[in-house]
Amino acid sequence: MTILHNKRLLLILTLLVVVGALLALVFTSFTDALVYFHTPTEIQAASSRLDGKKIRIGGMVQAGSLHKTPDTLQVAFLVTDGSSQLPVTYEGMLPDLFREGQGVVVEGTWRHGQPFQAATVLAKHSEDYMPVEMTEAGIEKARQSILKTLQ
Amino acid sequence: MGWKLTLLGVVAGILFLFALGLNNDPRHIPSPLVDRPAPDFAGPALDGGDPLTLSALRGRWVLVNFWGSWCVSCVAEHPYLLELDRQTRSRNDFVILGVDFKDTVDGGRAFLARHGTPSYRHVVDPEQKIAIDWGVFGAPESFLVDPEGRIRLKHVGPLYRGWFERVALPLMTSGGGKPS
Amino acid sequence: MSAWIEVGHFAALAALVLTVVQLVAPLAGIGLGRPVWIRVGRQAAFGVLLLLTVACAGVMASFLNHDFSVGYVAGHASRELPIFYLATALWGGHEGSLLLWVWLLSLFAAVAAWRHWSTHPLSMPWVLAILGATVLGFLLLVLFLSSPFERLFPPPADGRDLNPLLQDPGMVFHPPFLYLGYVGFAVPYAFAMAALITGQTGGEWILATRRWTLFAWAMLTIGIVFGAYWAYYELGWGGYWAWDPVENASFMPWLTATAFFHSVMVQERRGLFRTWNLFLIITTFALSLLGTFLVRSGVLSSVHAFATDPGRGVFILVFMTVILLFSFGLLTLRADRLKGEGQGRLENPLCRESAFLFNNLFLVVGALTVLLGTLFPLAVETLTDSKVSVGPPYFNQVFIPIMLGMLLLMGVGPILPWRRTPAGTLRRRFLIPGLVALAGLGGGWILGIGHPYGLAALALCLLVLSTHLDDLWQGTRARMRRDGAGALSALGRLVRRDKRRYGGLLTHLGLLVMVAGFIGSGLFQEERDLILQPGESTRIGEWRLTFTAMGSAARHNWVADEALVRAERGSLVLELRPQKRVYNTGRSQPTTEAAIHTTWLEDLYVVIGDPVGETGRAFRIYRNPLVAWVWWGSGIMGLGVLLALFQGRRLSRTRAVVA
Repeated sequence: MTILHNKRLLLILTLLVVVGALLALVFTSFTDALVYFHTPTEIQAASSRLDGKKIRIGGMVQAGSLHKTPDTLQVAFLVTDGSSQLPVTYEGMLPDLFREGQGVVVEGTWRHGQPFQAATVLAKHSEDYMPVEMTEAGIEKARQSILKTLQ
Repeated sequence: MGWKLTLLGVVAGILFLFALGLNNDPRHIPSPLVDRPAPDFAGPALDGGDPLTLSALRGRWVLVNFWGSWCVSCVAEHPYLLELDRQTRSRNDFVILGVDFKDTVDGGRAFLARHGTPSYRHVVDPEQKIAIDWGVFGAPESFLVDPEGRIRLKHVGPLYRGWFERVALPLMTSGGGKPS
Repeated sequence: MSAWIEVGHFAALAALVLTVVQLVAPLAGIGLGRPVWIRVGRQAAFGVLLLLTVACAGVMASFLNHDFSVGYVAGHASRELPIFYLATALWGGHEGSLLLWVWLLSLFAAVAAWRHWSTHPLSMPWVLAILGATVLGFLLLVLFLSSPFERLFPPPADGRDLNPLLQDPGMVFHPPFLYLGYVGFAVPYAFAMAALITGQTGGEWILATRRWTLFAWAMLTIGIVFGAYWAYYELGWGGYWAWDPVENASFMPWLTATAFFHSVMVQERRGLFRTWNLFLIITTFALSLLGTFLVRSGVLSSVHAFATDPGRGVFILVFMTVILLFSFGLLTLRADRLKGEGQGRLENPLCRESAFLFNNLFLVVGALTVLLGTLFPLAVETLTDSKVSVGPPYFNQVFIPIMLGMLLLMGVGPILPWRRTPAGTLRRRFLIPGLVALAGLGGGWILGIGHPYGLAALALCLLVLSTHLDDLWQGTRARMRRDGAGALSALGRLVRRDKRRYGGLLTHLGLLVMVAGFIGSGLFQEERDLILQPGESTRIGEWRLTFTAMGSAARHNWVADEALVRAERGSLVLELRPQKRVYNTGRSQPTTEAAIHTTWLEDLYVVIGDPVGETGRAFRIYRNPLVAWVWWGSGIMGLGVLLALFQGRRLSRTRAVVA
C-alpha cells in the first residue's frame, strides 16, 4: 500500500513540476515578447526609459525624407506623427506599399541617443480598404500580405 | 468547488472582454492631423465647373471624402454617401466635398454616372497632391473639418449607415467649433 | 432576371420555421411523453437540410445565371468570371460563407438523426434540439443580419467581380474544409450535452461520436494546412505560419480536439476523466464558435476589421454567450453527479493513462498559450490606451518546448501498458529506441546541428520513429509466428484487426514528418537580401543563382515585371521567374509572386524587390529546408485518420467491456 501511495505521490509531484515549468515558460516568454506601439512624440518624451526595449513606431514617412544610399539596400527616412519626427534607418527590401507620405510601422530595438535602426518595416495599409463583405479567405489574404511585412 | 467558479469566471471574463471590444471602432484611427488646421487645397472640379477651395467652405462643417474610381470599397460606400447627401442637403452647417484622387477625370465621371451622382462637388487630384498633404493611405478615407477649418475626425474605410448620427452629429453639437 | 434567389430565400425562411420545430418538438415529446413528437423533430431535421440545400442552390443558380440584381452576386462575380469560380463564389463572401456554414450544420444534424436514431434513442431528442438551436442561431444571422438573398434596385449591368486575390484554387477549398472541421464538432458537442442532461455520462456518447470527432479533426487539419500552403505559395514572405489571430482561431480548437480524442481513450478503458472529456468537447466547440466570432465581429482590430459590422458582432456575441453559459453552467451543475462513478484512480506515473494525462496537459497549456497571446492585445487595447502586439517570438518560444514534450510522450505513450509498467517491459521496449535516440543526438552533433532544440527534436523524432516501428514489428512478428504468414500479409492482418490503433500510429508518423518540416524550415532557413546587376551571381546553400535579365509577362487580368534567374546545382540548371504583378482591376498595389523550386530536401524561394540604380534589382532569396515535408506529413496524417475511421464501433465497445 505504501508503495502504491508513493507512486501516486510521485505522479502528483511530476504533474506539479511539469505544470509549473510550463506556466513559467508561458509567462516569462510572454513578458519578453510584448511589443508596445508608440508614436514619435511619445518616444521623445520617454527616450531614456525605453532604452533597450523592443518597440514599434507608427506614423507617416515624411515626404521628401527618404534617402537611399546608392547601390545598397540602405535607406534612411523620417517617421512623423505631425508634431515630431524620428530618424529611422533600415537595410533590406522595403515592402511593396512603402511610399513617402504614407503610413508606416517600424519595429526594432530602441537605443537611447542613437538613430533608430529598424529590424522590420511595414507599410501600414493597402490602398483599397477591403470591400465590406470579405470572405474568410479574403481576410486571410489581406492579413497575410500585411503580416509578411509586419512580423 | 474552486474549479467551477474559476471556469465560469474565465468564460464570463472572456465574454465581457469581447463585449467591451465590440465598442472599439477599429475604423476610428487617430490621425496626426486630428485637431490641427486642415491643409488647405484648391483644385479643378470634377464637373468641369469653377475650381474648388476648401477654405471657401470655412464656417461650415465639411466632410472631406477621398475616393477614386479604382477603389472597390468606394462602390460599397457610395450608396451611403448618396443617402447622406439627400439627408443633409438642406442643412446650412454641413457640406460634403469629394476628392477624387489618383484618378482620371473620365474615370471619376464614369464612376458617378454608374453609381449615382450626388449633389455635392468633387475636386480632382490626379497626382495625389492633396492626398499626400492629408496623409491619406488609401481609399476611401474621410475627414470631418470643423467651421474653423480644423480636422476633428478621421475615418478610415467606408462610412457606414448611421455614421453621421452616431459619430458626426455628437461632435457637431457638443464641441461646437472648439477642439475638445 | 430569374426567380431563383426568391426560391432560395423562401426555402431558407421555411427552414427557419422547421428549425423551430426541430428544436421544440423533441423537447415537447419528452415533456409530454409522446415519442411520436420526437419523430417529428427528426423529420424536421431532414426537412431543414432539404430546404437549406434549395437555399444554397438558389444562390448558386443566381451566380451561374449572372443575376446581378442580387446584391451578393453583384458583389462577388462578374460576366468575365470563369465558371469554376462562379460556382464556388457562394462562399466568396461573408453572407454566402455563413450560409454554407449553416448548410453543413444542417447536413450533419440530418446525418446524426439518421444514423443514431435507433442506436441512441435516449440522447436523440436532446441532440435534435441542441443542433436545432445551433442551426436556428446561425440561420437568424444569415437571414436577418447578413442576407445573401437581397435584391439590388436598380440592378447593375455587371458585377464588381470576385476579389482577384480569391481567384485561386487553394482559396476555393480552404474555407469549406475549415468549416467542415468547425461544424463537425457540433455533433459530438450535442451528444455530450445530451449525456449531461440525461445523466448518461458513462461514455456511450464518446463511442457514438468517435467517428464524428475524427472526421471533424481531419477536416480541420486539412483546412489549416491548406491555409498554410497557400500562404507559402502566394504571399512571398518565405514562411507559412505567422501566429496571426485568424490562424490562431483555427489552431485552438485543433489543440483541444487533439487532447479530447486522446483522453477519451482513458475514459473508455478506465472510466476516468469524465468531467474533463465533457469540458474538452464543449471547449472545442466553443473555440470553433470563437473563431467565427473573431473573424466576423472584428473585435480584433487588424486589417480584417474593415470587414465588420457591429450588428453582426453583437448577435454572434449574444449567441456565444448563451451557448457558453448554458454548456459550462450545466457542466458545473452536473459535475458532482459525474463524480463517484469513476472506477479507480490514477496511481502510477508510468502507464498509458499518465501519458495521456500529460499529453492533455501539454495540449491544453498550448491552447491556453494561444488564447492568451490572441486575447491579450485585445484586452490591453480595450482596457487601456496603449496598443501592444504579441509577436511570433512568444508563440515560438512556448511552442517549441511543448512540441518537444509532446514528441517525448508520443515516443513512450503508445507502447506503455495500461495501469502500470513492469520494469522488465520498460527495459525491453525502450532500450533500443533509447539507444537510437542517443545515436541521433550524437549523429546530429557530428553533422553540425548546433541548435539544442534541433538536436533534441532530432533525437525525439528518432525515438518516436523507432518505438512505433518496433511496435509494428513486434506485432507483425507475433502474427507471423502464430499464423505462419508472410511479413506483409501478417502486417496487413495486424492493421486490419485494430485500425484505430494503427491509424493513430500512422497519424503520429505523419506528425513526425511535419515536425521534421517545422524544424528544418524554422531553424535552418537561410535568407538573403541583396542587389544583383544583370549577369551577377550569388550562392545560397549548394545553389548558384544568376540574375540574367528582366522581362515582362501578362495574362488577361494582370501585367508583371519578371526577373529571369538561372539556378544551378551541379549539373542541374533551372530557370526561375519571380514576378511583381499588378492586377488591372484597379488595385494599383503590386503583388509579389515568388518563384519556388521544390526538391524533397529543400525549397529554393526567390522574390524580387524594387529596381536599384539603372539596371540592378533587389532580391530576397530563401533556402527553406524540408518545407515540403510539412505538406506530405499532413497527407500521412489524413491517411491515418482515414484508417482509424474505418474502425467499426463494435471492437472498441468489446474492448471497453473487457477492460
